[in-house]
Amino acid sequence: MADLQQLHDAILAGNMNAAIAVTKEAVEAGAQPGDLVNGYMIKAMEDIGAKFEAGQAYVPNLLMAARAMKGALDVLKPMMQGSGVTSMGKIVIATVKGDLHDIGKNLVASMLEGCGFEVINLGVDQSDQKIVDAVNQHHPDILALSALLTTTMGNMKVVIDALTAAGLRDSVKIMVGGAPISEAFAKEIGADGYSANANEAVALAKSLV
Amino acid sequence: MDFRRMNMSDIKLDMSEIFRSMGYPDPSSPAQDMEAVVMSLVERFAAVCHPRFRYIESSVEGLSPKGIIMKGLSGADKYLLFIATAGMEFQQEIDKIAQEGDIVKVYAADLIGSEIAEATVRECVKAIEADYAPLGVSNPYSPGYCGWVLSEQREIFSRFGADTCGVKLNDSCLMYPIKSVSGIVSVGAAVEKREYGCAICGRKDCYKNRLKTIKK
Repeated sequence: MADLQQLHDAILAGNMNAAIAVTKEAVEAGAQPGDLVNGYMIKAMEDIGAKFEAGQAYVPNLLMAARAMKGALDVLKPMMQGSGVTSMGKIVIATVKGDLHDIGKNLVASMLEGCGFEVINLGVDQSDQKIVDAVNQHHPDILALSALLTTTMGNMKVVIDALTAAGLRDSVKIMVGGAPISEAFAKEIGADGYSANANEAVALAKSLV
Repeated sequence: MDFRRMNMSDIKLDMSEIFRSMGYPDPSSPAQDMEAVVMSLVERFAAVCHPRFRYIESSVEGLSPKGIIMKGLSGADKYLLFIATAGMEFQQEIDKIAQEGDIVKVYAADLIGSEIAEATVRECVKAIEADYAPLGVSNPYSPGYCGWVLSEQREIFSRFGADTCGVKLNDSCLMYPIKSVSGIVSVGAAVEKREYGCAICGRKDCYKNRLKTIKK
């Protein structure tokens, strides 16, 4: 059996090839996906998040860790059906209408996926109707909205109003983020939570489901 | 003027800006693995990309940039509108990178694209300075920033006629290729490069001001 601490360390270091290799070795030796995911992989993502919060890691480190996590998860996916490993929750994520910025959103999506959420990424410049349709179709636990521009952040409220009008507002928690967004703005528009960065977004999502 | 098509060797990328955007406190010494990713992508883009820009003389009639921008444009004898873009070749290449599915590369490519667009704007301003010397040229200002509403992109683009460097607007007034910039500069004997937008804009909810706060 591989030294499973190496799986944790490979993800923490953002070393995808090592993470995949250790995962394969562990699987061949009979390790259970749930033990790998819950015992080592999610812990590594939590640890890189903590380093980020402490200023000891940067956005590229988060991304490399998320990439390594995804590589390892891809090895496990065929075995995870019926293995008892369940998603932490379903999240629909989108950048609002009028805004083409997607790097921050994608970083949040990758971190959420890395930490065990099922993420449906709608993309950028998404109208309120498209987002309402996606909530209607996917029934997510959380809707995550992103905006980078002060000129587009107002469209978050348009989405929330559209969800209310469609009778869907109470069926989904809404979290918002993006550089111009603040806690006060989130409250003002009726969102359920705000996060300042990808790491906080994971913690917020966990608290909302 | 007709649009100017350049090679990547004609523009000067500010590599430290790319690494600063990644959050490295000392952008001159990023992590080696990330630096390798960025340098490899820059080479990849250099092989295919042709940034372009075009500017035209116009007026501010029908446009409503906010006070901060008008202050930056003050002293104008003329106003010039411009479009600058990393180009469709860049868009096609970054689309390929996205298809490859490596989130680290996609992230780095996006930041490189932003810097290519900014470097293209710098070349555009240099060309204006050369064409209008010895008049002063202001800093460039764009819709979507400093409170200038994005919908005025439509008016700006209408003044360029068919020749928009291949840049198109979608229904939300966003540009495609994505890494494109449109905006305005002023030219005149009394025009000077004032302290730039972020330095004079106190808007706390703008991401550029937030980055400034984080850097402190």
